Amino acid sequence: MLRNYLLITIAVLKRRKFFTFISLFGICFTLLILMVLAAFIDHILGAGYPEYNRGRSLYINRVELSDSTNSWHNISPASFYLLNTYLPTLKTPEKIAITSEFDFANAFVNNKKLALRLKFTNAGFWEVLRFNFIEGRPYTEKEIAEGARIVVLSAKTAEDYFGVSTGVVGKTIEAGSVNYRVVGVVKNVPATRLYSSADLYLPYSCSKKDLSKKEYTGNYIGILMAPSRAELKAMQAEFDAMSAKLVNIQQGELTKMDFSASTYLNSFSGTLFGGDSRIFYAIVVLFALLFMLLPSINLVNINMSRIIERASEIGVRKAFGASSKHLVMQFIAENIFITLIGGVLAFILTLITLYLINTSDIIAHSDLTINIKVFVVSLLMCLVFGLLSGVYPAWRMSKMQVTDALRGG
Amino acid sequence: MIKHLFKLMWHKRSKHFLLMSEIFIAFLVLFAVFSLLFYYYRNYRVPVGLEYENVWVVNFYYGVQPTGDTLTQQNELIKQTLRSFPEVEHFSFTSGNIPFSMNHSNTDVFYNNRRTTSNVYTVEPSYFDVLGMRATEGRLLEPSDRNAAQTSLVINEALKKELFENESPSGKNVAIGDEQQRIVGVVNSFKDKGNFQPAAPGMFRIISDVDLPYTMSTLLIRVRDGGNASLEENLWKKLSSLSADTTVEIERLTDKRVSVNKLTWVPMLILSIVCGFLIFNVALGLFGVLWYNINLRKEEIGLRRALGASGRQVTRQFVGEALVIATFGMALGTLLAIQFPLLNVFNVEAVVYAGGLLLATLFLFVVVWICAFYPGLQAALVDPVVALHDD
Repeated sequence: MLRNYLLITIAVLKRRKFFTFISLFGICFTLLILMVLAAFIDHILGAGYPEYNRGRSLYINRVELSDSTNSWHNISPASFYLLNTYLPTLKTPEKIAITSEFDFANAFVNNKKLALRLKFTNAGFWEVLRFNFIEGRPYTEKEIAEGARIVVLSAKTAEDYFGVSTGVVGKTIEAGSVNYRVVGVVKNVPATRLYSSADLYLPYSCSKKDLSKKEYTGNYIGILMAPSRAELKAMQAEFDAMSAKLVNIQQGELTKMDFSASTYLNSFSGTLFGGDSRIFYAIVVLFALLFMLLPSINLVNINMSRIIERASEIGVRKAFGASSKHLVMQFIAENIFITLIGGVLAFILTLITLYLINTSDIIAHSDLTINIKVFVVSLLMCLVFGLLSGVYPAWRMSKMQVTDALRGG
Repeated sequence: MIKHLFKLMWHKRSKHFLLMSEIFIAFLVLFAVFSLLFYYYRNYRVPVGLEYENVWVVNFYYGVQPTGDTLTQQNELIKQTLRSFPEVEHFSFTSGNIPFSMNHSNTDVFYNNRRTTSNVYTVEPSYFDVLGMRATEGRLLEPSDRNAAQTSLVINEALKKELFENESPSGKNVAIGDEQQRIVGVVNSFKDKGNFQPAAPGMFRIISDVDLPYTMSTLLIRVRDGGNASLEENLWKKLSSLSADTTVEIERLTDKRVSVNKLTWVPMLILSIVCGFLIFNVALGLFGVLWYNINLRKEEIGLRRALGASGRQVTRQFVGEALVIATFGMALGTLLAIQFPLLNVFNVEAVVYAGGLLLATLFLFVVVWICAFYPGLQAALVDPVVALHDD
């Protein structure tokens, strides 16, 4: 049966080439935009290089301090002291990463300035985040404790500073008028991954700031990695129990602290909408549906025109006893076939578009791809679009009177 | 003729419902995009009002925030260092909300019963020289304003317009919080959030002793002839060597302007491309449907031709019909669109919406005309003999 529908669809598509082109163009373009959007959201929120462990990690990127009357609030990332003192007391996390937000330093090569983004990290950073080392190695806990002036570079920094991206281990780089010995070079990280992208990665002991100071706000981010996804909840509970004991503090006039950890998705949508991730997804789905509205109406319009062309076919089928339900099913199936053909074309175009975005400078070092997740979402979108634009014409078609239909519309 | 067409289409409104709703939605999309584009274009045409070409920004990141005496010492040390460079023409410490930065600082200002929100810039008197701003009324800030009993304010033209309209603000007091502050002068308006943003109300007050800790992190300097990399390196080395635990970063305002403008035009470009494709899609659909409808109406055309209608008249009828359908859709769209200025949804001048409305209407009429013209021409070619013989 489905095979027959497919054959009819192809025959219809061949009949009026111009209409076929209009239909396919609309479908193709609509799905292209939605697929690029899906790839982009996946790039921002999904696990990717080097944050492959996002699914089993908790991010600690803010503490909120308030005074006794609750009228003065100070929201900022945590201090190194706070993270380094309390996170190691937790039992569930397998590894703990602590890294600074961006610090900046200048380096001068050949009378040219390089503005570099620095991250000061602990040794756990290299285990929670799985960097791809082009050469060399990460620094160790022991080297950090010794206060060694060593650095891991991104491939781009190595190229900009030394002119080559390999064979630089052991060389010295001067950044912020301090000399560091290069111990490793890692593959570039997309600029959208704020917690892992940087030009220079340094041991936290190289920071000019006094990290042992007992204050709660600072510019450090903590990432807790659970042994598995299943233990994420337990880790969250243990963290919450620990932070509940830290509510009463003293920093200037501020006496209350809200020290919280959340998944990457929640912390992302929290900063945008102040809510949980469901709101974020609801907004995205609403946007996608609104966007599909115009192309859908367009497609409905074209499909309606094509119905009239097929009036005699419908008339004959009805006269021979095909039910309305049957006809509706057939036309919806046809429409979904067409949508899927458009979807395949859109998929190819999406690959090209993503390639263009990745090679352009719009997002530094971006790695937008279509993975299984994006693919499934794209397929779903095709089905929704096919249904959206197929149901009304099919319904109108099935309502046609046999006599009218046989007369030819 | 036109009245007749309207009557004809009104009777067939349920048949053309889909086409109309398509035009309606396309019109709303175009209205939104054109309003935005028109808004940014209008902003873009206004001069920036700042001489930013030869201005550098120096950011200080303190490892240990200086306090008390170290603070004043550090401040004086930085100033001495800058004075030792002949290439540095003017410099001023400032609050973090420098031109083309993402940093905002604003407050509510009251005058009589009027209230408005204004940017607040905490600066040194030399700030105006650094950015080439001039007084249009009264005077600029002077060192004697420092630590004076009453805070002196210099406001810009945009704030003057909002609060005082045609009055002269010099010497008048405005209320900020519980405090009465005195306006001593007015400077030209400026677009410090980028070329595409409006010139916002702003006011300047001088850095007094209590502000010192908050205004030690950002410095604007004007360099002769734009400076070069070696000046930057020297400056950077000197400033870095003043304190071991301080990180110094130097940026150029021209670079900051380019990147802040990007935040406007990149989304607008993407929006325009997406909208362009949407409209192209609609146009193709429209073309197809009109063409198809005309094929179905060959008999009617044949009859009209046989009764003496010229080919041109037939074309005009079909184009006219399409335009009437478009008019219905757009009339509905206009009803909705006009609510934006009436309800003042986004606090944007009505002329922006009017421009958006006009552009969207014109654009859509042109698109519909193009889409209907070719099918209309085809219709004119129908041979009455063949058409009437068909049935």
